[in-house]
Amino acid sequence: MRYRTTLVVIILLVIVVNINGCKSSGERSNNVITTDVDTSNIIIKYDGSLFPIPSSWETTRLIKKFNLPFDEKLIAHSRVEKHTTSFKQALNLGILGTDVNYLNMYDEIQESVMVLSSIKLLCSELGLGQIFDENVFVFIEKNINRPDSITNKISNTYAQSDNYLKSNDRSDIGSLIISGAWVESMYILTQIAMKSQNRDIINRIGEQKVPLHNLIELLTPFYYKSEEISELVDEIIDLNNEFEGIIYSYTYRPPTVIPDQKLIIINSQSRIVISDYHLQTIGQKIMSLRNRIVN
Amino acid sequence: MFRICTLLVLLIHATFLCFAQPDDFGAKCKQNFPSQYISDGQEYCAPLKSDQKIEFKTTFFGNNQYRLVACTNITGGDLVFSVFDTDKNLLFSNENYDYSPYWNFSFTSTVTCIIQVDVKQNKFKPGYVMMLIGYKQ
Repeated sequence: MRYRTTLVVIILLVIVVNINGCKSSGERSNNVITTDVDTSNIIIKYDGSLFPIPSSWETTRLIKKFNLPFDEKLIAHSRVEKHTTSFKQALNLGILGTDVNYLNMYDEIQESVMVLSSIKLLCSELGLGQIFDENVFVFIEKNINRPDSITNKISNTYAQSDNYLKSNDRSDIGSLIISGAWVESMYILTQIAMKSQNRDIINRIGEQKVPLHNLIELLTPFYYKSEEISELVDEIIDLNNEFEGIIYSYTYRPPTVIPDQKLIIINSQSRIVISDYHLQTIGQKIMSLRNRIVN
Repeated sequence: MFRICTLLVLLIHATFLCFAQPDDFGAKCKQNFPSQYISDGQEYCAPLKSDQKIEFKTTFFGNNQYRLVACTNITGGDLVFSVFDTDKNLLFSNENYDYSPYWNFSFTSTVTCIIQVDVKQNKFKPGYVMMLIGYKQ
């Protein structure tokens, strides 16, 4: 009897302590000042490893540096209503996120707002309407002349969607959104690279080998979930094979540390040799994959 | 009986730990991004296991300055984050700088790095670790 009472008391005590601990941590988090952080991409843990994919903004912002003209044809002008499966909706949501970034880079605000309405529709179809709500549009309206702020806001909204999907056991949808965003950023980069032959942009394409590998790892857990995902993964693996033909070299050089600035300068150098054949092949495969998603 | 009691208590405690979300320390993590840094959109969050370090490979693009921020909800241990190149040369470890929760990295050329995150503790305690990467605008 004594043991039983002790047992009940201890269990109750632990429950109270834990519940209280959870509550207080939540309250603490409310008091923390958070900065507006772009968290548009997903990280999936798998056997102690994580698989980061650069955000489309990080990948494509290089374009702006070279003052290359805006190309409206690169934007996916498709009617999103026709996408009825969550597979297609998620991929297209990623594609349109990249398109908004590209449009904002060139201050194409009107077009950007139109794409945003398609994004809103897809979010609603995917059960993400509460994330991409009116507040987002009010913010965009108020910051219409500040494309950088809009990009940050959209990225944050994508991140919220991602967190929501992860916490609701829908990581497959989150991974498809990321895949769509990456495919579109590669589509934009390859199209511009093939046209301009800009060496930095061509190299940026070659630098996608590790992100592409991470993308495969990200999608692989869902390979058998549907035939559509299996086909997508197979296609991305086929694309990955083309990257094997790119020559990489790396030379280690000791870094320089500036402790008072909490800064380290990484002096190591890398070099990429990508042939025109590989650029064209990767470009064609990306275009084919992207057009199948959009149409 | 006492053993069963202890076991039950530990089980309940562990259950609560599993369901705990890393949101609160994630917010603290984000405080280390001043406005000139924008996160690359990635939240590296994972539960720490006793026999594992969190490890991931990522590409840092050339001519960019990045900030790496690390945090944990594990108390009584030092969070260590180390950055290696793909040849396993150690480029940086915060262990050498008083376990600073963040550090800035300037890349003169695009480099793929392996980032390892671990918590140095005398006795293993479960919890989450989080890492954020931001680049300077």
